[in-house]
Amino acid sequence: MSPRIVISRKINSIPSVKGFKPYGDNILETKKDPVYLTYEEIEAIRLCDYEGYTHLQASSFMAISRPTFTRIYARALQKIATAFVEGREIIIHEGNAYMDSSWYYCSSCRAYFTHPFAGVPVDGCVICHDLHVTSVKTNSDSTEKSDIALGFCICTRCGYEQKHHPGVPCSSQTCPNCQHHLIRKSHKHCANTKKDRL
Amino acid sequence: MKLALCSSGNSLDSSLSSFNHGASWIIFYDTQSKIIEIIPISEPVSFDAIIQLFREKNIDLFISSDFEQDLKPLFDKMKVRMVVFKDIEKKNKEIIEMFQTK
Repeated sequence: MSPRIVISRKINSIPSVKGFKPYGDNILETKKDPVYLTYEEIEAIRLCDYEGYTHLQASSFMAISRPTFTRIYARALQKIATAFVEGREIIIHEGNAYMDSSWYYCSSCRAYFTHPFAGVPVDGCVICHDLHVTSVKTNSDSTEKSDIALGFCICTRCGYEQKHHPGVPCSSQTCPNCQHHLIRKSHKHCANTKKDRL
Repeated sequence: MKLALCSSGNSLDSSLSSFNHGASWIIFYDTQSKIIEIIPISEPVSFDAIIQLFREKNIDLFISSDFEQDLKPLFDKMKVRMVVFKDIEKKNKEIIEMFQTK
């Protein structure tokens, strides 16, 4: 059975530092492996403990479900506690995150550009004003990859498919054709869908 | 609109360059007044000096063949749009012409 697909987490900005180092007399004598914190874990700490949002609010900012957010947050605290207690270095790395105001690509002039104006929709290419611009994730090469990562919700009765929305359980959605509850496409029961039988 | 282009040379015939690796000049261009200004980048590159320069010149677009991802939050905060042309053979004058023909 293949492992569950992990979706990218949305972060507001890249952390301002690349890590933290402990200091003291016996740090050099007892050199230990560093603790690796990901961008999404830093973002979870920032939203909850720095900005003061609840887990539910913070999870919506990161476009993930509340239980997933709680797991990321708990993991971040566990890592920070390990680093503090054992006197380990903390290294911050990219992990599986993308930024909210990401890059855009214009297929007409082949330019990548940013749009740093929050709340203002992108009204075309900044160079040639062509309207055919696509959003590009920071840690992937194309928008296709993000669709694959998010996956699809599928109806096991008629084979209807729709794009999965992060934070919305597939089972809470119903098929518009036969009113049957949807499940994630990678689920083991999907092998018996009508499409597959055909 | 005021542009800043990373250039490998001090002329418009020079090719666009990466901001962090290989850019030794910055070309400033004002699309309204058509004034072109070419400024050398001192080594090692001082980001603070460049940010200060951009603030003074009210730059709207910063064009390069590549940026480090860490720079994006910095320019986002300044409301400067970053533009990347992956085509490393692209000449500075070709990019400026794109704005002149609009």
